[in-house]
Amino acid sequence: MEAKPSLLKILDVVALGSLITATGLVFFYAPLEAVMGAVQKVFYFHVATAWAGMLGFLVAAIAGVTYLVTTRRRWDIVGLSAVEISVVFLFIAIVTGSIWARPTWNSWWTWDPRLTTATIMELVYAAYLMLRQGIEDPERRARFGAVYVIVGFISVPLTFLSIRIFRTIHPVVIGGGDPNSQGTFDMTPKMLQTFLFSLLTFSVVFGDLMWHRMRLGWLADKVEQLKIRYHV
Amino acid sequence: MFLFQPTPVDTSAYMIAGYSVVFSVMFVYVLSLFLRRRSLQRDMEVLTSLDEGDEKSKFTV
Repeated sequence: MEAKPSLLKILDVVALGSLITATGLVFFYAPLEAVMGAVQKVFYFHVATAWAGMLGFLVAAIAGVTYLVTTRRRWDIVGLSAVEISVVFLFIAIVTGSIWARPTWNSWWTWDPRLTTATIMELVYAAYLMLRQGIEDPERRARFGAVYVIVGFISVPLTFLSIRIFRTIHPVVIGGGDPNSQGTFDMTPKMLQTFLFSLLTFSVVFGDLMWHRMRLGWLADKVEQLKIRYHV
Repeated sequence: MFLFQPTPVDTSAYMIAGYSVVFSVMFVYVLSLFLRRRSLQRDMEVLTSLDEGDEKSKFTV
């Protein structure tokens, strides 16, 4: 059985340590926001998970292009891994956003441009994971997956820019936004430091999970090849 | 003076709910990675033993 690489062990420790530190910063270092109170602290991990999710979709699109150029199965596994982790992170971002919205907007959900585009993006990639299951031939599945993640990537800039180009109540914390947005706040230096550290943390956690998921994908690929060989 | 200072609303229950979601979903995902890997390793062991058996039978025939 393939042993876990030392670098991955180090990355595990760094990711876990960063996550604990980021949590500590959120609860004990970042000040309490004057209007929204404690629920504003959800913002740090809400944005960080959304960022990691979108980063993963970008990685998947790049892997898709690379697969179509090289036709090496490894790139299909990279794309699949990135999408799976990103769907999980985006799910967290959507649910935590809804929890934040309840006391801030007085509603769990509203069909605002950002919320709508984020949900579409999540569903597009969730469909990718489901549709892959229906294709038995590994080469066809990989080709389909590559094209899908490239086309699906359109939903990512659309979601990112939705709060900047449409009228929305979703706040834009960095760069200012629609004057109708509700829940906007100015970040103090401590808030900004916590926010940036959370972004960095979730980037590291994403990288760590990616490595684990790719190892799982390579193992699954080997098992699948042996099963085909023995008609299991 | 502090008597008239506005205090934020108590929204700590939402904050706890938010972080519970973050950590529980991440925990479930990491657990799923672990369980899937364990299951694949078992499959791999069975298939490798089949492979070895196949190699031996080639020599005995």
